[in-house]
Amino acid sequence: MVKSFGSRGDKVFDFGINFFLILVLMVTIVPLSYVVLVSVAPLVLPGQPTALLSFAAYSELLAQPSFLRAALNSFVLLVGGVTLNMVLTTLSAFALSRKSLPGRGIILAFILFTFLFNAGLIPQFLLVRSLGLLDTLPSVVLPGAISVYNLLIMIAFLQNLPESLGEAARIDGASEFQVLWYVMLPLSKPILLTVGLFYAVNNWNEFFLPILFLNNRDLMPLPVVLRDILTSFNSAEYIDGNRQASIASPEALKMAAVVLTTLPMLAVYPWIQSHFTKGVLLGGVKE
Amino acid sequence: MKRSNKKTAIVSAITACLALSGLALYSSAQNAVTDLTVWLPAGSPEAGPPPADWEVYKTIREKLNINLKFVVAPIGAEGETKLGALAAANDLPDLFEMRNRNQFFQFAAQKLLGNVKPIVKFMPQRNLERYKNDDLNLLATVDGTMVGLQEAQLLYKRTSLLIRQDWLDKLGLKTPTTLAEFLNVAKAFTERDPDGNGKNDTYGWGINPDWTPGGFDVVYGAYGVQGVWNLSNAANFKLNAREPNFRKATEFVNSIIDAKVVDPDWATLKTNDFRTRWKQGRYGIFAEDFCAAMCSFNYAPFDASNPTGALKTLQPPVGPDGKSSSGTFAAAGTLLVASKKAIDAGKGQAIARLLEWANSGEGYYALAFGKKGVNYNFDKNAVITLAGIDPANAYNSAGFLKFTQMRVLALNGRQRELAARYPIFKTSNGRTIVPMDFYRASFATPHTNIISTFLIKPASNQADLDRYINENRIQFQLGQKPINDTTWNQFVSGLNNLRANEYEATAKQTLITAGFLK
Repeated sequence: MVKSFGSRGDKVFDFGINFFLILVLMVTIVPLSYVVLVSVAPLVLPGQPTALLSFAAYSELLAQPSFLRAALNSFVLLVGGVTLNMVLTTLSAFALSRKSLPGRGIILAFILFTFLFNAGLIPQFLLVRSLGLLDTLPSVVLPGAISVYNLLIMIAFLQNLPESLGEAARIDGASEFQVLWYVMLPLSKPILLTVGLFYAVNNWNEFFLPILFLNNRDLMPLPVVLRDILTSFNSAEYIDGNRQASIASPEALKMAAVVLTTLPMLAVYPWIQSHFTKGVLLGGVKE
Repeated sequence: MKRSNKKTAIVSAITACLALSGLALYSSAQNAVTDLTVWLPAGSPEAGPPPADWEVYKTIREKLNINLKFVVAPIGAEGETKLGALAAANDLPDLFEMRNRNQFFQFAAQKLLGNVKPIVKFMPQRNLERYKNDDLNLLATVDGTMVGLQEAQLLYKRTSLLIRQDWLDKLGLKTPTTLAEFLNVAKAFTERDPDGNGKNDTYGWGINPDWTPGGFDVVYGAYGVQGVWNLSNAANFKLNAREPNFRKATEFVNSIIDAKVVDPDWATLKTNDFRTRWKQGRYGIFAEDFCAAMCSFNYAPFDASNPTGALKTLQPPVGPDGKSSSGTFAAAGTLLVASKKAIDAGKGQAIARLLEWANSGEGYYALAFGKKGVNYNFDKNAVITLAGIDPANAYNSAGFLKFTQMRVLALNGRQRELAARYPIFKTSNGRTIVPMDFYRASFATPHTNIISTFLIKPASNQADLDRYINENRIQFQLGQKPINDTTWNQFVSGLNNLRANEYEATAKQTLITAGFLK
């Protein structure tokens, strides 16, 4: 018979765990809700009628001419970047997960070396420059095309899949690519979604590499342009005096910018949350 | 034909050929188009760059023989990192602006910046108007070579104290002049409900802690210890924090805070919070940039909540020795530099042509205001106006800002320009506000010139030193640390533990060598 409730000790333990998780939830939710609330806070002017909520900060940001172009650039970087990341990471992980791969140990050692010792900013810049990639969107996604961390997670996951499945497919005449495409990938949805999310967040939030590698402001992604917009609002005293007044407070604008950049990732996360958890755990468990 | 005639004909033909080829060479040199890459921070960061088919590019190509490539340079730490990367790749732009003095000195030491002295003569008007100030030129001279074009700040001494004149009138108070009078007025503003709303919601003195030293500049100015350094003469040169008057000023600040006439949140306020509060009508006295206070878009929220509110520029308080100062200032503005690569490649004259063109006439208006009749007009006093201009095309409209991104090369701070940039406006109850009157009033108040300190390279432990001074100062000001001989001597001797004496010695030598300190 299975007990529906544990012992007194279990109950205390459960209570402790729940209490701790509630605390963690609070720590997460309070700043997030603060950001959202400030972003819709109206500009308070004593003696003036004030609405409860105001979306002025959002409309002001969205009305900026450069905003939509930047959002499009971010979208292109997101889709293009994640596609490239996933193709290269999956192919590399598939090959490196095969223990029979000649020189596997050395290749892995080299890859791990780059994980531990980064070449640094200047060599990276010089490389991108000598490849003629400066001022192109690929310069933003190519240097980080494969994340060693994500690659290692995926290798670990693929190594845990039964080798016999691949062998059976090969006996039936499948090529290595067909083994990957028809056998391994359908079984790897959790890790693909997990690693995909990691890459998506990185690509979406990319801030520094565009500044470093892109000169054309028309190619800049959303985080950079939002920073520029906020810089402009924050330095109001240094610009011409005949500029129009902002209809939102600087804090509201700042927080609205945070919400706008976070929103796409927040919207996607709940749909893949279950796979995400499973993927991270499976990658680290060996049967 | 006689032999001699033949010879003459041959010589003449050769001479003519040489002359023609020389002319052709000269002409092609004149017509040769120079590629010039110019990096400048955006005039309006929120707007994008001008498009590739910008009419100004065409004009510059046709009239100046320059194939201009303008890049909106990133600002802040990322921008400096990018410049560092470009320097490492020996790929610095031909002409660019530098805002970080330390990086400027580094580039100069690495011989990455070109000598611009020889090109100044190719821009006579600009030279006359902008590069004749010896002090400013010293800031751009390294090891005797002029490696930068240091322009003056168009508007400096822009920050001063403002007081609510309507509150003074309502409470029947006189404008304060001394520190003691300031404290009394601040008390009255705090305790006697100057806005008449029946609530205890006003403070005599509003402080913006984002400004050094902690927003109490005027108090330190009254004691003659404003700014980081005592620059009075070589014998007295030292960190102001060592001065006995620095202690006295800190004690006075402590007494102001104890009197509860300062917003209790002052130590943690951000500039935006500070501004929101004075605009809400919560402060009677505060220091502010003239445009942040009195330009129409900044003044509007204050006007909405205080329709009868009247702000007036206030002279800084006079201290016990008769000293006073609204704040520190340095008249150094834009620092333009040319890469050595560009100068070595013979692009110096092209750079000079561009700068001269931007200085006045067609170039000036094109870069700063756009096209006459389309983006701006002139009024009867030849001041730029938007009368008769479609608002969507106005030079200051959101859609047009991308076409004035290079205006830093053009703006000159003359009266007509300022009248256009800081226009007169009316408040909600019909009062006329002239922002430039507030600027002139601010300029007229005493300020402390710290321009020479631009030459002082930061100490290797500058962040530690700054943190030490600021933390102690705030603790003393707030009363968290009592001010007495023991605590103060500990504070001063702690400076030497951070090798402040070595920093002072190096700084002193730098200023003496440059001729700023005698």
